Amino acid sequence: MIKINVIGKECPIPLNEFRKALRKAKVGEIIEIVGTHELSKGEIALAADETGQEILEIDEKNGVWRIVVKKVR
Amino acid sequence: MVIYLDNANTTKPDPEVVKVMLEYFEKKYGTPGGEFGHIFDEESREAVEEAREIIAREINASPEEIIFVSDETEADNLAIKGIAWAKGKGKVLASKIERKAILNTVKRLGEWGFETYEVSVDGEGFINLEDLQSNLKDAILFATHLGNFEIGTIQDIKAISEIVHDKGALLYLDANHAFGKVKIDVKKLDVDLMSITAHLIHGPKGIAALYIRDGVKLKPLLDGDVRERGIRPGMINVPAIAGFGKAVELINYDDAKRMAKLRDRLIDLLLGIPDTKLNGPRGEKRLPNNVNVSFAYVEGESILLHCDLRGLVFSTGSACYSQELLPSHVIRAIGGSFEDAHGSVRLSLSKWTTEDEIVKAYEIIKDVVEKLREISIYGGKR
Repeated sequence: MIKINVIGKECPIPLNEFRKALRKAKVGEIIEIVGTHELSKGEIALAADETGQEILEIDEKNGVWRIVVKKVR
Repeated sequence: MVIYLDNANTTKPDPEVVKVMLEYFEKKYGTPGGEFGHIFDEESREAVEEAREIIAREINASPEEIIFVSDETEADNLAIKGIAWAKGKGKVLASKIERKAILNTVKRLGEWGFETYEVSVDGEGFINLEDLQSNLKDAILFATHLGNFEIGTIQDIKAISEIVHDKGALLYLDANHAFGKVKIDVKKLDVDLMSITAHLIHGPKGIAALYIRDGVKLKPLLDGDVRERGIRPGMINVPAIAGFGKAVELINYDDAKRMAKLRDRLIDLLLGIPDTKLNGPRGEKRLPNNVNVSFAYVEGESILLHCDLRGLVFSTGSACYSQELLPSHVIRAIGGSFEDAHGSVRLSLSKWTTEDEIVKAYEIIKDVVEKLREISIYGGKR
């Protein structure tokens, strides 16, 4: 699993970190990204969806969101 | 298949360029020597001098007026610092919308005791000639560009050179982004120094040329041997120079005409997206391969990243340093807001760009912008 922590980072850094992880990941690998910037949460989910990846989980607790994506292509 | 619209960043080398270069990697691997060089060195010297002649001919200069350097940043530094050091004192000016290599070189001279000034531009990026004229007292050099790297504005260099020379200063022209797309005649433009680079015309990276008009004196940045007339001593990058010469040979101005039509098509399509505005002028006063637009309510970097994931690549004007984004200084200088500067993207075409790619690029960008606006913190409104 690739874990990315972008807590405190603002747009577009979280999306860029997710993009780098997605490029590096092998098909079938899981990427977990946690952050706090609200807009980035939507952008990462959008990017995962548009590139045809599988979003396994999206949750948020005490202002920290967590997105888990499986690279499928 | 990725659509590459980042040709103002760098271009794909032409296969004919690569073929020429390989010969100087694999077989003719000498380095130009003096009068009594052996056969390997002689072959290299001939290749370098042939490329120098081709480049000189293309811009109506003499081969002796061409110095090879490693890239446009080195050319900027050599031209600006070299003139300042040769003159010893005086004022150095640049426009506000130059590349950072020029602006920061001028700033460095300011730290070293030279007077400096940044000339303003209008809303389309044209240099304010009155501001230039009224700030040339004690000037030794004005550094500016032919075609702007970011918004494509083509300056009236003939008018600028008249103003600059009338005050006894020299003119350094960054022609890197215009070269190969706009026909350049250094004598008609009346420039004293000018830089052109290979990697923006389908040549190799790591090689550029500095035109130095006969009679113009400047000090070298480096001390060493007498190669490149002692102005740029050091190892000669023979394969890259040979490739540069081939890339110049392959310049075809019909490509520029075709690119201009595709540029206008892309601009028209993009301006159909609500709350989108063009940065820089339209028509013949814009580089034929440059499109730069600002999308309201979304950041350029977000658009870039989403498009990249979908197989479309281009640039934004913002600079990212240490994970902090600085808005484009060019968009700010032409009067754009902070949001305009952050929402700007630059799409740049090449001789290989097709109409299908332009239409596909528009469709991807439109979809990305619409989706990003839906989740924007602005909620689609300022």
